[in-house]
Amino acid sequence: MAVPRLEVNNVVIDYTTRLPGGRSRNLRAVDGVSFSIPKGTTFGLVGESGSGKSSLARAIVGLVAMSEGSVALDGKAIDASKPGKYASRIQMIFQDPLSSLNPKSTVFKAIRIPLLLHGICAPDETRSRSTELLTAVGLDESFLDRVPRELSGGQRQRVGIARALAVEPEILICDEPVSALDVSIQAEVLQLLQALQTERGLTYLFIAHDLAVVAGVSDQIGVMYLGSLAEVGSAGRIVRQPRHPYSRALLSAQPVPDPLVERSRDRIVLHGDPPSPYEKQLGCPFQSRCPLSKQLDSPRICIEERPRLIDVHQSQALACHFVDGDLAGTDAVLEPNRDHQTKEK
Amino acid sequence: MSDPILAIENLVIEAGGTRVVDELSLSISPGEVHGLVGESGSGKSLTAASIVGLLPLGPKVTGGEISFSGRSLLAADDDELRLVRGSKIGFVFQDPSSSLNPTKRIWPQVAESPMIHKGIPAKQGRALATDLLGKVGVPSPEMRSGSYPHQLSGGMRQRAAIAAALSSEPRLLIADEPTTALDVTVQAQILDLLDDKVRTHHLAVLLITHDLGVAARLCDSLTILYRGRVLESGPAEAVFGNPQSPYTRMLLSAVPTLDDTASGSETSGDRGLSRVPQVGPTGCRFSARCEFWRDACSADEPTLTIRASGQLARCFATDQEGWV
Repeated sequence: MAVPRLEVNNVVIDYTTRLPGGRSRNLRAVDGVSFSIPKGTTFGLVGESGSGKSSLARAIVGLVAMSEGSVALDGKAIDASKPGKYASRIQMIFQDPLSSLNPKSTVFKAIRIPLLLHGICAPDETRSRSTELLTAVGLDESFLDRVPRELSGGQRQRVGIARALAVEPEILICDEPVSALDVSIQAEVLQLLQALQTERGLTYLFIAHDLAVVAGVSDQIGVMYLGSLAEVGSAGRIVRQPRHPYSRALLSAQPVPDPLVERSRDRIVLHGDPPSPYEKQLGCPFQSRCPLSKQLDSPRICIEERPRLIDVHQSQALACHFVDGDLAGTDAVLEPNRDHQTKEK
Repeated sequence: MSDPILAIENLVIEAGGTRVVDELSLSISPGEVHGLVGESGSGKSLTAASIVGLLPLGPKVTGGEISFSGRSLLAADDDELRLVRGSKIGFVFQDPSSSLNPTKRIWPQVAESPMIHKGIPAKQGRALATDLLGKVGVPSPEMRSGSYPHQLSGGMRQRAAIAAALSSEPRLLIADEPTTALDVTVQAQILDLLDDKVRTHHLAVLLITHDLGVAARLCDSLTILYRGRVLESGPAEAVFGNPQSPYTRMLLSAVPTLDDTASGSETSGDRGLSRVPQVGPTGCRFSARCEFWRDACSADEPTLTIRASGQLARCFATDQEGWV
């Protein structure tokens, strides 16, 4: 298999919060996550608030520091001390374009700065280059001199995308790019992202809390829970044959716009809330809410031992001691943590 | 079917000279969940606020009638409205952390309405709050009733807000995007809870949401709003199963579902965002984005016409020729 465009190896992210009295406590936001994204494809990362997906995105672009692990571009590890060096290759799109664009500068200025900083074109060509970028995202020249408040939400997000594309990156990290938008506008922005990917061979890490949005754009999907990957696999496998109890619950909680389906379906409703990330978990992070574990009378292995990602299919791996009610291949559990990246599909 | 508990007729809300809600009519019977669905700026939250006289500064009700158990709310004075807000109509808002007072413990907030309107003493109020918290599924309610809002998770706060809204046993619950700020697994819990309360208490609910999935889960009937105009209304099965407005159809097809997996998922509706919808003063408001647009749509606005039992829609294209 070719070298993946982006590789995330066993990344750990810790935050330290200061408490009154000079004490501090540690919060492990991301706890050993690994995956890889082949060139030109999309890896979707789903998870609920606090699952660590945004921290991971920020670590990849160097906005937060990793405590452990590494990120590699085309097989070469990124030097975490020089995030600026990679800015022209990895760009990020944020959830709320209003807060990621300067309210006082025009669209032209927002796009012009990266063009100049990275020496993409000569100063007198920036206007024509900016127009090209706007055209690529479905806007036109008339938007150049507007300020963010004169744009609709969808238009702002398009400007955010144009700005990210200005430096001609290879990878776009999209952190909840459509969750602030109305559904009809969501669909348009998602289509735009897909069209740009095909045109430019971009590689995406696409982060969202909405599994349906992620399923629609991703080739592979990783499901995060409390800082680690619960399940990872091809989009088709995760959506049609999820094996991890959390992925199943997540799918089952997804409302479907059809009252007949909604009324007749059996839903897995989880009880309780995710545990506090400050509390150190020895066992499976999902154990406290896991319907399967409960059904099996909370086996000790779930409470005491953290499950590792195990391949259950050539394009599906999950972190669960039990799969379909059976002890997931006892041998596999005892094996040293294998490289679980999804194999060639 | 019993008499409606809430009836809105031809409601007009104006802000700065434009009609932000334009001749909206809907009615809700006891035990019925009615969904008011629309995108941001469609006027759904203003409609809800106008029911209990809580419109923000600026927008004003300039026409129509709102009646609650047969009495006009628009004609009601402040004292009467206070009573209605306090004990007859419960409210649940999108963001529980902004609807709960961060400096007060949970129990006085949950039991506030019965303590004020029914004169329940504090001690009994705490017991009532604890009981209500237990009923909405807050674990260890004795302890939680003494907590402050920041000590609870988002889902738990929304449960507390629902407990507060139900504390005075209202007959109508207005839920404005009650699960939008929550994670899906927690959303599923809260929707189950609301569903259960509706069925067991014979509660009428006006559910305001932009999420058609949530609407499908809970609603018996729906009103689809677009820029202040009702484009379609009717029983949930009819509106979802056989939508008569192109807007409803577009909304339904825009909802991402798990069926469309990567590449080649077809979502309709891309007509370029750069095209700002231009609505003539007399034309159909949706015409600028409508794929069934014809000349007549720009000149005149269609009226709401009956399409099926209880189903109304406002569209020339589907009215005369059916779907193209």
